[in-house]
Amino acid sequence: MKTIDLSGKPCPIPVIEAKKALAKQGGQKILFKVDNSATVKNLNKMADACGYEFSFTEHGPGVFEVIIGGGEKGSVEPMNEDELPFVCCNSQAENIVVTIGSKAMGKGSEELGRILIKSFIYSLTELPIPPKYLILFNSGVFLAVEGANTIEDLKRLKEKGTEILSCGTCLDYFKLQDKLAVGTVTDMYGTTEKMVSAGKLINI
Amino acid sequence: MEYIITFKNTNHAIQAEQFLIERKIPLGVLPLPSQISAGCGICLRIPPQEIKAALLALTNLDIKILGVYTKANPRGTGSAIFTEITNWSRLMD
Repeated sequence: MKTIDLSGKPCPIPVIEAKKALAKQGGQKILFKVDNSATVKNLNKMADACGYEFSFTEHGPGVFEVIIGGGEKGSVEPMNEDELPFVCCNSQAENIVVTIGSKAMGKGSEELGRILIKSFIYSLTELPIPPKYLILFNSGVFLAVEGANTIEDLKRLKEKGTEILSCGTCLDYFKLQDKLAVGTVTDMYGTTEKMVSAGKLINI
Repeated sequence: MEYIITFKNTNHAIQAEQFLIERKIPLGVLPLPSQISAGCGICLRIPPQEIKAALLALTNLDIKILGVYTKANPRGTGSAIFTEITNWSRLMD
């Protein structure tokens, strides 16, 4: 069976490429590798709309193998891209990036801001779809170091699938390199790359 | 299970948080859950083994505790259940 790796491609490209590949193969089965559940759902909708058989296997977080092709009806007339029966908002919702550049939320009162940010981090843990990344920079890194009472909520967020990243330069500046209690360290390239590829970027 | 303490206003919540942090009582902050109608927008959550110490400590402050609740997350359900403890002063015994 032919294998096509569609991981890393933003929605709706995987669905468009899969549809074209299937048409080229005359509807014969193809194995597609994808990296998120939204793409699996969208491929499923495309397969149903085109009359292909569909199955998928999840091999781990972000590792999916989807097999599409065959089916009684076989290939149906290819649709225009704007007629594809799927929405991309799932994909967008699954790529939320939250950046926190301060240990206080908002301006006006530092004291108020410090408690608001804790309240905000807790409420992130209650979201049905947690952010993909939470990036802490400048004094925001204080939220992830030993002694902060946000650690427990950040750990919970991490368990729910959010990757917690702290700016290494900032930890260095505040002499907190050895105090990071949750998540890992990132640099400006990593931060920038995640910001520009975000489905939604929420900057606090 | 953990305890939730609500306050009359945000200033009281901030004072209480700082006071408990200084006394090394572990706690978390959360927005007032929508299931709890009374209180300011910020409340504190306290592990069960610390609730007595936390409430005793807060009696030293000139602030009003509006309510104390238990927060439980039953298995298989997404949302937490909050139960008000009407006679919460007994938790200090």
